[in-house]
Amino acid sequence: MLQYQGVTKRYAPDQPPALDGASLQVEPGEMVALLGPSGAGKSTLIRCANGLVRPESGVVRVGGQSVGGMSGADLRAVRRKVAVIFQEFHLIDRFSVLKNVLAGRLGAYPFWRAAAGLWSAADVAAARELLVRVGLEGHERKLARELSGGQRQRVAIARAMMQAPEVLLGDEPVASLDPVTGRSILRLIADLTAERRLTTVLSLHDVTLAREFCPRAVGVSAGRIVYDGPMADVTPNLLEMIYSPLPPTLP
Amino acid sequence: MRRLNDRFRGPALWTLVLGGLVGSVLVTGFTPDKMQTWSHAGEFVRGMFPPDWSVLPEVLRGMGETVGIAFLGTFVAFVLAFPLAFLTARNITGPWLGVPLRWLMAMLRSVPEVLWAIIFVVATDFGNVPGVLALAAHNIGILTKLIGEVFEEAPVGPQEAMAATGTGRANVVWFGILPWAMPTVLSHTFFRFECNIRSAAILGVVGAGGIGTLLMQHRQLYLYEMMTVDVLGIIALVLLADWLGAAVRKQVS
Repeated sequence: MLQYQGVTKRYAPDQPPALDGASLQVEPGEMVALLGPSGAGKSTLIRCANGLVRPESGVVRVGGQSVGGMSGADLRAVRRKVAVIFQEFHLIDRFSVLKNVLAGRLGAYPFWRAAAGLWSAADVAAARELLVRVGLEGHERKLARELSGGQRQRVAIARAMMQAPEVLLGDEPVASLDPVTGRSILRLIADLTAERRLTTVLSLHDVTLAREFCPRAVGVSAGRIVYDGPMADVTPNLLEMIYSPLPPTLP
Repeated sequence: MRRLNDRFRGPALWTLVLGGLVGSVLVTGFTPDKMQTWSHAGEFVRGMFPPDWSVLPEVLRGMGETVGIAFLGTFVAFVLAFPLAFLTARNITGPWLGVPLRWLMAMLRSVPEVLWAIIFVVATDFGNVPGVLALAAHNIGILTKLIGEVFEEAPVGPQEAMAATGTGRANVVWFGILPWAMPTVLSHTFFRFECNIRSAAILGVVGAGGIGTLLMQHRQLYLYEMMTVDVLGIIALVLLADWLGAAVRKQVS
């Protein structure tokens, strides 16, 4: 479960807040699409969930545990429960596909073991299995940079699953991919969300794709959540409101 | 510095060049009529020919020593600079340690190799050892800065991805920065090796070993025929360094 209560974040005192009292609750097995224009606060919302961004007020809870005020080992323990995938994949280009997936387990490895490459046999087996699951069997030894965009995002998803997360966050995970590839990636994420009862939140600017895979939509505009409800009820008028350049007023 | 108004930039440049010319002539006493000293040049060049090749085995050994000095100097500098680079990179280490270390490194590299060599020759003895130490001292400062700046330029994306797995800072740096930085780090290091071969070739002039030692000795004893071979040896070394550097950088990039 992922929960936001009145979360506010301001990057600079003289700027309007990136998040302005955002509240949201997402349950396991749900796949939620964050809709909204660039700069609306979608990335900030996502990054608040694992402490990459610290809100100035409000509470973010992962599995009932508050992330705010955490640091050091506590924060790292929460981060292990929250996997993130990115628009630009952020793989280690010069590492093999298998090693990139294993990197998802780094939270469980002290520096000396990770640096020496002493991965446990169980983790290596798990990583291989995940690569089969995301459809990259036989690519284990290739370098990450040798793969296509869609394949890289599959590696990133396998890396995320390697964390055995409760929450899966995606910051525009298909924005760098062509529509067909993007659809297959969202299909994979939807299947994994159902199989593993993940609490999944993705920011998606392609509304058509979002409609296809996400039963629930959350509209973000000027740091505020302006819509939270079934995707089926997202009308063209509502989209226009969400994507309007002026900060909308809540209905 | 603020960019000067266009109207003043032309005159300012001319003032700088003319002022520099007049000032430099006054300071150095360099005027065309002083060129009479060229009369010695003919005698000197005539003395250099024909080259005395009997000194070749010694020159080859000197060249080998020079490459050895350059290699060891670079190696020692790298071994120390690599960990120091983590401690001086602004995105890895806080200013409480980074700032004093960056100052120390700036001091190390602001002293030229030849000056370090003079210091180490006085502190230890003539020979190859002060040469290695001199190159190491100067290059720790240079390599720490170069490598640290490579770390600072690493893209934040993979670092964030590593942090998001809930791992510690050391793993984030090792996996998020190092694989990206390593080719450039090696390329910089080999470039310094190339530079160090050139530097080591003249360190002997102040007594710090290598082929420069022969050059100095032969000059002092007016053995110009042998000096020719020394100079050819140095040219060969510099060409070798150029070629080696280009070849290695082609491989790592």
